[in-house]
Amino acid sequence: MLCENLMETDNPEFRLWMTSMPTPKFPVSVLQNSVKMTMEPPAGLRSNLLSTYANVEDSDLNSCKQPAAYKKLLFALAFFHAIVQDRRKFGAIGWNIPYAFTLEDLNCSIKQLKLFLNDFDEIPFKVLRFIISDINYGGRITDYIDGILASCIISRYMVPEVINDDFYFSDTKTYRSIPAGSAADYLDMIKALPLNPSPEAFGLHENAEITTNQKLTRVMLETILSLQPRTSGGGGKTRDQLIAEISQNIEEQTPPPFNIEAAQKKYPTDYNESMNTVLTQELIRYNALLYLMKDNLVNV
Amino acid sequence: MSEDLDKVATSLHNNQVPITWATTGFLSLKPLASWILDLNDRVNFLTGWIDKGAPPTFWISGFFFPQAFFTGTLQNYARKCQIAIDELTFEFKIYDEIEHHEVTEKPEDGSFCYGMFFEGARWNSVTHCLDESQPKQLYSSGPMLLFLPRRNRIAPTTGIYNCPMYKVLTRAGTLSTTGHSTNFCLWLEFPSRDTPEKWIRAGVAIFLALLY
Repeated sequence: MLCENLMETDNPEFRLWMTSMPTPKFPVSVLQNSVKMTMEPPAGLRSNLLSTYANVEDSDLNSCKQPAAYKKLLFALAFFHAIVQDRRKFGAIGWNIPYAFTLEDLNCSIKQLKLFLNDFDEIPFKVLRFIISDINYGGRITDYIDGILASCIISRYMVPEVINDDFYFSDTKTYRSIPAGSAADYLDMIKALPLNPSPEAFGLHENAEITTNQKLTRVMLETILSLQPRTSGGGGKTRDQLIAEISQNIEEQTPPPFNIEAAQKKYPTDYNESMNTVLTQELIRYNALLYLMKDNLVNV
Repeated sequence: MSEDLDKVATSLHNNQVPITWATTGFLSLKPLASWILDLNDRVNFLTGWIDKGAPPTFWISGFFFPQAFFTGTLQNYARKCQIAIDELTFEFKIYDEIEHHEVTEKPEDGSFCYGMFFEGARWNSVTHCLDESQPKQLYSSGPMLLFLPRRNRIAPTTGIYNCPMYKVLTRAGTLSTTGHSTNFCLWLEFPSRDTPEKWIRAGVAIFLALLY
């Protein structure tokens, strides 16, 4: 290891920067001896858009051949980015798999957007949609049902109508395509947005918020449960007594395994009745579980 | 006590399904207390089948591997009509004015199925269309369906939402060696007056089991 060979003569200003994905295999000792920084996308559409526009310069906005369209589409893109990142918080109803979309996905899409606007007089919306949702962001998407969602989201924002001043990004008209202005105009508009976006902004039902909060609560309680001491102190039943009681209770509730032979006699493999095969296969699968439970519960 | 058994004991203590049971068993998110009830329901469903013959309506949530049941339905039809099975796909007929226990006869072809739950939307049995969820009602029962095999069927492109069916609410699954997902089952079609995009963005899907 590098650290073990460090000499006193080494430059005291020496610092080692390491980056890593979140992984349970990361050595604890290194983690404990380090100053830790985490990169997480800002939560909420407003702060997400703010962080994007914090890096937008007027010189960049006006250096495109079609500045008005560029400003409009840049905001649509930033909004798309905020939506796909923030959908993660809803859990499985947001994305099947929580993808780590990054600022690079956005920056890459912005560069391409500018390129297309400089090279073509007519804006190639279809091409833009495909490049953004299927290639730049889609490159991270591994579940094809999520791919359908990404294409669906981009087709709501990357459309010719977004050039108009009366285009709205959500049905309640909270998020609007403002007249093409300076970076400061956009920042002012973003700062006036609600701190906490309603699920409606994502096209989700308001119930999605309840699901999300329930999940957060459950995760917290499960963490607390996992921290429970495994030995009980004073009074009441011991842990072993409790486990014996529970396992007896579960054992009583566990149904006996199926008699597969008898079932197979009654429902033999039949060319005209595939359901017999379906039934037998199901019985085999359930029996594997029932025998395992029986075995465990006797021995616990 | 071996280490594995100790883990089983800890899980029982915490009202969790032991990991070995969960991996040997059916995909489930339920805590131990409701998991064991679910297991009993499933075993009862199959016991009823063994004792009284295949039921007129199938409790689809009772299957360990529902994909095999769908293939079985297709295969029965293919063999009856002497058609290659890969020419067959399902048409979905919705029976929302009758309860599953009122059905006493098997359908001529295909299978009646019940036991599904919507998330993100609900079934409106008055308009017979997909509709917005009621406030605070996170999940709602789906209607009974007839899975009807059809030869060279051309799927409708308008007026429907293609709704993914998963076993449990986590949606994500891994691909197993059979080519099936561990979670995703198949696509259903539900009539809708709204555009499919609305339901896609709302994350509408149908599930065979819930959390508790």
